[in-house]
Amino acid sequence: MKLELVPVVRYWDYNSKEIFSAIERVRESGSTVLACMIPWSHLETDRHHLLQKLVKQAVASGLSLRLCVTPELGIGYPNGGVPDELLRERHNLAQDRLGHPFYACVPPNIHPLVSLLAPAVFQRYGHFLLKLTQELTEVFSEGFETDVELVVTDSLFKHYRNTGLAASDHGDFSLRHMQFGAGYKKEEWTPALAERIFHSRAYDFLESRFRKFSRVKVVSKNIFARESSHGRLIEELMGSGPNHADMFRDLIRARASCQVAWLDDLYRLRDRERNFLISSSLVLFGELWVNEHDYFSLSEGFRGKMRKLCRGFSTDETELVRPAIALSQNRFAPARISALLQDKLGVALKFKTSLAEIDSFERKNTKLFVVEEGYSLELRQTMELLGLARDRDCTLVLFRSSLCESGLKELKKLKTFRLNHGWLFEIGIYPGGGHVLLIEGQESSNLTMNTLGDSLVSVARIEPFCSFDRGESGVISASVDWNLKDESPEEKSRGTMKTLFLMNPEPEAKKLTLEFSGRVRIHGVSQGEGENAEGAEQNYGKCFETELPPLSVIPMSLFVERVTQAFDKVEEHGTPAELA
Amino acid sequence: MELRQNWHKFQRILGPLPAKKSGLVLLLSHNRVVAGALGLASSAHSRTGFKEIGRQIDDVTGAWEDLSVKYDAAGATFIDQEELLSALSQVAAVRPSAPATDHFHAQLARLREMLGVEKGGEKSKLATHLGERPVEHFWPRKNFLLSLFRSFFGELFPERKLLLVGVVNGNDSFDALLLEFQGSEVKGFSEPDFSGIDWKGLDLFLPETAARFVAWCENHYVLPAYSIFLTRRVWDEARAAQMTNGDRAAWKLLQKTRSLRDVEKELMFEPEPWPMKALLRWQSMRG
Repeated sequence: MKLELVPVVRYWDYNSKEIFSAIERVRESGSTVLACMIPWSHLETDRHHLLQKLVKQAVASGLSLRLCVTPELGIGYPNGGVPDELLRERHNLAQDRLGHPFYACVPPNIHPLVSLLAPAVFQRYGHFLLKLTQELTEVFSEGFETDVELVVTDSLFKHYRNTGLAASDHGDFSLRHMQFGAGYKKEEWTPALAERIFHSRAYDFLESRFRKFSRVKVVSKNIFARESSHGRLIEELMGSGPNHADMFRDLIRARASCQVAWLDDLYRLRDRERNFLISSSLVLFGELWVNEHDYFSLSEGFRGKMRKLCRGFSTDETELVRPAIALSQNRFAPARISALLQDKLGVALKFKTSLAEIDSFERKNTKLFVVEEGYSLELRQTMELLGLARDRDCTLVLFRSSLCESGLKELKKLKTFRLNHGWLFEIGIYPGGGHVLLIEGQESSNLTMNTLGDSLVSVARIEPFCSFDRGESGVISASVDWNLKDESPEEKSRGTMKTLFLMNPEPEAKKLTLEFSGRVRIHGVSQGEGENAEGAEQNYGKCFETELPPLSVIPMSLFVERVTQAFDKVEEHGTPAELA
Repeated sequence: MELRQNWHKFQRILGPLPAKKSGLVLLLSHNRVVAGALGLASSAHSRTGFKEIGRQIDDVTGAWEDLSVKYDAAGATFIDQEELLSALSQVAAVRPSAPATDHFHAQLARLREMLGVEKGGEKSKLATHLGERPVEHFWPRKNFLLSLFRSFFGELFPERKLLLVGVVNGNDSFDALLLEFQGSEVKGFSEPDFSGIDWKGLDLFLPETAARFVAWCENHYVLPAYSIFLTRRVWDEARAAQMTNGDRAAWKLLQKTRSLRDVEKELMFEPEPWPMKALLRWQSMRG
């Protein structure tokens, strides 16, 4: 796990002399990394040398660099950096399903969005990449000792939705865009696929050009950015600024598909609201980009706290607990089940669009794999997923519609039994404890998806660490596992270390009763008197009371007692009963 | 105007002031609320979020009665999304000559005009305003300085001109914004790059110092330029005066500060031709 608070510098706002002081200011603030969005059209102006100046200066100062090379909105550059000429041609513009253009309503101007796959745009972007490569290669050839990341993001694709349209309407439906997709089967041509095409070409190009520089890495990241459509316009017109609670909710939902949070306009928030959003995003996302004006408006004390937080958790001994993965066809428009889990599990869920994206660590540690309805699995993929449930104790959820005929036959080899909880399930259990749930359908239309979600969460045993999670407290938790390397086996057998972050987005203090599923020891919190309260034994307990200050992110160090052998036994035999 | 458009700085110095009363804006699509915002009055303490997304509104008058109580709002503006899209197509129209689109401030001002939220503005087809107060009471107020050229004395100035606003924080620091006016409207702004002027240690309230900045702006943008330098204290007081007593009070305060003798100078206009003096006097009388 790595936590980083990264200031985003608008280098085009500075002259050559000022760039030096801007970078010095970042360095003196204690940051070791800085990010920049590279506006496409800025590289075509006579001030393009500022990019080289910035890179030279940053590497000379020992700062790592993140250079975002895809067009993003809200970066503070006119038209989001897209060249004017492209906006003048109507056929270059993206449009929604109803034929309306998308307008980016963010400073420094309201402008329509281009369709990134329109031939003229695509070609011009290619020129930009060539020019960028040329500029950066010149600097890198002089030698440098710091890490540079060229970040290819999900760019404008995430903004192809006008306020009020359903998630399923997400995407660019312009003629040029649809023509580009004409070679694909209709059901395959999704905004996600369009993004991947644009994205992979940029990625491959950069990767091939910068491979020779060992310290330059081309990375692909999905960035959370605030919506820039009509909702934002209303907000700007009223001068009301963002609402921190809504932003926090958006951040939690976005965590399933985004790796970086980018907060570009916090200046209208009150200090406490802004600090809350920054600290919570840092914990939830690990990497947080904040524009330099907001970054420097943070107090020195708060920045110091964030530095401590980053230092404390940036180690390979920590891991944010995210035990669920949903295989989704289109992360811009997740199907019912993925959207439901997104609401239910928040940061604990990851969206993946292909099996190849699931890495070995995730294969070993994820508790719940869900394949959303309509996601077609080939036999090879079905076998791979079944293999996960066979080899270890995890839950695999499939819809019948996802499986091919051979896949269904394979599943039938597993002894299954049927359950009817309103939703019809077929459940198979492997000897190692892994479950496979095949969802047949819904018996009554009165049943909500919520019923299904609850069943899945309990079958997969993704019970929240504390029971308040399912309540209406508004408090959100995220837990970090500590896997201490220098711990002896004896110590390990006694229990594990965890840090539980409790986040209270409300402007009022919250009294909480934390009820844990197992026995834990919390530093500095006394045991409570809830239902599960037990007599203290070496300060271990299941129920604790605490009060969270308003707008706070509170870390709690826990020692979780390892469950006894007897309990293991119960679990081994108890699983079917638990299901029933 | 071109680069160095720091919107945050513009908002911080010349941004709108909170409305006199709290108000709501709702964006409707097929009678359903798809977006909205709650603008709080300067005196309001709570920061309730807008929670009406998805609400069906068949009758705006009925909905307003409910909303006014729920949000303690003095008025509400209902905007139809289809109408807004057609307004946006005009506001964000891509022009054949550079720059492709106007600046954000000019675009928002145009939208406000189309929404009919300015005092004495035309009735809007784009929005329906309901409430116990006139619409300008529950929409944010423009900074008084942005309407400097809005009087018949303003017509005595060249059509296109620059106004340099320098808010002096201390001996060696001042926040500068350069506004480009077309007639009486702000068409753009930028942060001038004064790194070529060695001004540190100089008294910014001396006419010759200010004249150097004005000359730089005129040479750089090839437009006639005017400047106003004032201390942070005076600026804050003027904004506070506008907040509590309206535009005229703010102008009066500037006029009074300008005419003070035998005290350290805290406000200066440079150049100050007679139409500028007349303009200031007029604004402080009319507001």
